[in-house]
Amino acid sequence: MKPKPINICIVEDDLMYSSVLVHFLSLNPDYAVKKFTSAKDFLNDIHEKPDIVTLDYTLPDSTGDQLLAQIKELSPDSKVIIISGQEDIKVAIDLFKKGAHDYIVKDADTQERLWMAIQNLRENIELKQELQSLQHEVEKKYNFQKAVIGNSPVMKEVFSLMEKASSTSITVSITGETGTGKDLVAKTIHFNSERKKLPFVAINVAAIPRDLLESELFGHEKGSFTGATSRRLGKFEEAHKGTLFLDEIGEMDVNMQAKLLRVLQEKEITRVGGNEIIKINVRIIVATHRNLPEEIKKGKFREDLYYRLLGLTIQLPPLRKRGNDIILIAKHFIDLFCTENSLGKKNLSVEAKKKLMIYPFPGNIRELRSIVELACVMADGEEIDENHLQINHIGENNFSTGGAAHTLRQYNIQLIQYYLDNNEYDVIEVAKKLDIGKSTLYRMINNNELKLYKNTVRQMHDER
Amino acid sequence: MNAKRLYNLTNLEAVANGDKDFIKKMVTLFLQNTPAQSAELLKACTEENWQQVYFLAHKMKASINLVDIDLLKEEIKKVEANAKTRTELEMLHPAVEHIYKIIFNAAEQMKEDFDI
Repeated sequence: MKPKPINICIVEDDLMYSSVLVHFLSLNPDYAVKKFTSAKDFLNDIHEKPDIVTLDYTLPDSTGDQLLAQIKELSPDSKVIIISGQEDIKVAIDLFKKGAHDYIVKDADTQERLWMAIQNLRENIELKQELQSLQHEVEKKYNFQKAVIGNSPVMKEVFSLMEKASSTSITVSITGETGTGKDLVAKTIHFNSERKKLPFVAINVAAIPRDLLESELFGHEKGSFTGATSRRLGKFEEAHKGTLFLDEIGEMDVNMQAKLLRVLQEKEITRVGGNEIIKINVRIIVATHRNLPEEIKKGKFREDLYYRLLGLTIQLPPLRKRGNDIILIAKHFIDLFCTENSLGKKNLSVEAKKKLMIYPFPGNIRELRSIVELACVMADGEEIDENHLQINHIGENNFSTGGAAHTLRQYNIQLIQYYLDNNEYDVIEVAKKLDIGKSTLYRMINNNELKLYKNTVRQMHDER
Repeated sequence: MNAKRLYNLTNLEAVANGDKDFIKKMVTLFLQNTPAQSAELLKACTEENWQQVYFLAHKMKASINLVDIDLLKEEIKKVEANAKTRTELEMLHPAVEHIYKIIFNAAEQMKEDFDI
């Protein structure tokens, strides 16, 4: 992509001098140069937000410092280079303090010095343009409608909560099984909030060794521990004025929880090995696949921290509860994968859709994505059929192994139990998915052939 | 083009990068503005309007440097500085007269050289 030209305005009442500057700078095809002979004319055009302004210090209708102040107010991102007929250090220092980027004296070398000054600023401007373009891309990517796919009633409720979360800075806690898209929801909330132009910093608590987590979160001073060879900023400081996403918060060590609680209450941190108190302004989003109230009962999670973090709770449903969203999401991943890999358009057959709809997806969206991406590779034609969908969930072997031969009835019982285990023991849901009568299931439950609780619990219960 | 030229366009030619029209445009701008400014400078000096002398000398300095009138480069700076600080005022009148004369002669040379 061709870079945007650098817009330069020359404000200079000397017609000869301004013509020289325009001609000289226009030699570079990347520069779009305009000249103005008075402050008034230039201010009429300042809504164009030039990248660079070269300003004659003495103008008939203004002085350099007056016009500099107006530019800083009306177009704060414009870089200002003062070109003065006199070398006056005091004036130059004063102008630098007021936001000028350079001060060049009119002499035989002015053009070259101006060229160099603009080259230096140009790198800075191009980086900024690149950053803005990336920010725009990210904003588009995390647009509510595009980022999180689904129109099931349960997801409509989630979208409503996400919108509420985006319009305030309330702490958000996202819960849901592994692979339900907690991190995507956190990013979408951030990139639709007022903080969207500021950092989104994510840390997976479970992935950081316990001893290093404090330093990761709060930073450390040089020499504070073996290996701390220089000062390092922590995630809280990195996320200043933005959002800090603490993923898998349920895995945090209890001692660390106490430190985190203090930081959230005081809104200030101290780097490991340091004394300086640093104020922080960070929006917190946490996520966990654990049931935190249960963890509190077990003494693994602090109740005070739980209430501090609770804020707005968003419970992400497992994929198996999202009905037709499964097909919408599968189509999205198929289109994405086929585009990225130049595979042409592919569609799911009716049988393939049925197969996806009855599978419980214990790995949720992450698992669905893997299954359909592999299917795209396996399908030679435009259609993905049920045989291309290779479902290899480890749990499936539960009812096909064991060494001993089983009767058909025993296989049926194991299969139904597996579906009950993975559908929160929702008899009606399982009956629908397996296309059998719910009264059949209730009869099998009454006969103790099926259990409405986990096998592990059942085993413990049986052992007593 | 017999007399020694009072001006030198080497610097402008470097900026022009081979664009002869640009050079002619610059000479035209000089002829349109600088002789008139030097006349105003002389008038302001006669009227002892030192603020105006400072302002005009400041403005003319850039044009004199651009067409590289070597004879005037230091003199115009001195006029500008003295008018600003109101010092050595007695030197201003003869200096400004000299500037007016040299600008006039340089302008005549340019008209001849560029057939304007």
